[in-house]
Amino acid sequence: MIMRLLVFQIFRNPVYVMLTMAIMIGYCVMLLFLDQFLFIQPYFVAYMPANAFGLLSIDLVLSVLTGFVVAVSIHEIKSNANRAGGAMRAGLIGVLAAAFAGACPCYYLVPILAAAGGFGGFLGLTGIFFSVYEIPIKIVSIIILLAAGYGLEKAARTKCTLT
Amino acid sequence: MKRVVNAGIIVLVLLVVVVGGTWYFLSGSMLNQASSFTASSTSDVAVLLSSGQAPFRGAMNASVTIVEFGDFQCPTCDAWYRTQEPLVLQNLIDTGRVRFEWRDFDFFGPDSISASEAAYAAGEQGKFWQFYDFLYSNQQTPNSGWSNSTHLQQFAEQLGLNMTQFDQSFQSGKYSTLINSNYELGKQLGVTATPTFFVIGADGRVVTIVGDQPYSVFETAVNSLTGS
Repeated sequence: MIMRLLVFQIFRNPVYVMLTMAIMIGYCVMLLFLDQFLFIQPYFVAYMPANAFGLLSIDLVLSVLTGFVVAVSIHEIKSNANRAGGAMRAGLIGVLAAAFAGACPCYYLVPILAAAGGFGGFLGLTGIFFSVYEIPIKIVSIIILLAAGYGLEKAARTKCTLT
Repeated sequence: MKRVVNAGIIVLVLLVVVVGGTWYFLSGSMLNQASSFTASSTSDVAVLLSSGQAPFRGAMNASVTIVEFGDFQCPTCDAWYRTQEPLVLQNLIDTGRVRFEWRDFDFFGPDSISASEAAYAAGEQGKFWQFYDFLYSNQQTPNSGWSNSTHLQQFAEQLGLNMTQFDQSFQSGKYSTLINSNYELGKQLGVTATPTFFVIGADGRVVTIVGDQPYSVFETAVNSLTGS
């Protein structure tokens, strides 16, 4: 069933396979670092706390979806000038959803934001909000990415129907 | 169509490799080796951290001091407290190798400051660490009111503190200078996240550990500073 999705056609081109993998791995490493599965100080450490299975799974799903949606959007923009607007929107939604999810683990950012904005300041409160509601926000981001992927698939099917 | 299916299979195989590899890598099956791990000789940090007062547990004359900058409302500090601190306590502090100091770095909001003030007030009755344990054991969502003045007074009561003495100290604001100076000290030392730990050797060499890192990192740091 999954194999029959038209958006998978971009993987006929190895460049897009590599692009997808690069975005996916790059984003995954960033999330793993921000969520403290990876540390680089005082030396490189990969560590998974016992209760972090859910968060790790969410990070991996987010990375896969981000790589896929962004790569398909780029393909659509490059290969179909007439429909570039729709693809651009889907790509933008994908990137924003990914950035939104990536902003969640404000573990490294909250103190900086709080220091910059002061107690009760907008920046500090925003950082704390993202930090506290990290998992629900990431789940929303996954839903948004799935919707963007669905939009791209729907657009690809419309294109096939018309031609 | 066949090519698409083949490409899909390749992508799925790659996904399985990436996801499986990540899982295997993080689950500890691969060793986190500190092959060329060395402590920095940032003795300024040690000098700065030796100033002022900070509650500590462990042997006064231990050869290594671990200073934690934390916030009682910080979920990451709580995660470290629950999973790694017992191991540090058991293997490094209780064995006399390490003295563990606490410095507040309160940025989550006014309730963080109240929590620190209450802990220091409890410290006047010799119960700082009991209060510290109590706060982390009962931590809830930041700024949800779990560490407001009313609840902190209830915590103090549950720990059997002399409430007249506690209230007097807690509400006097006498610890605001210490809390502010700890915050400024943290910023001066480059603390940008909690928990941040400075592991200081007898010779002033310092290892900085940021975040909810596993016990093995602390053990390696202590070993490198003591030459064991």
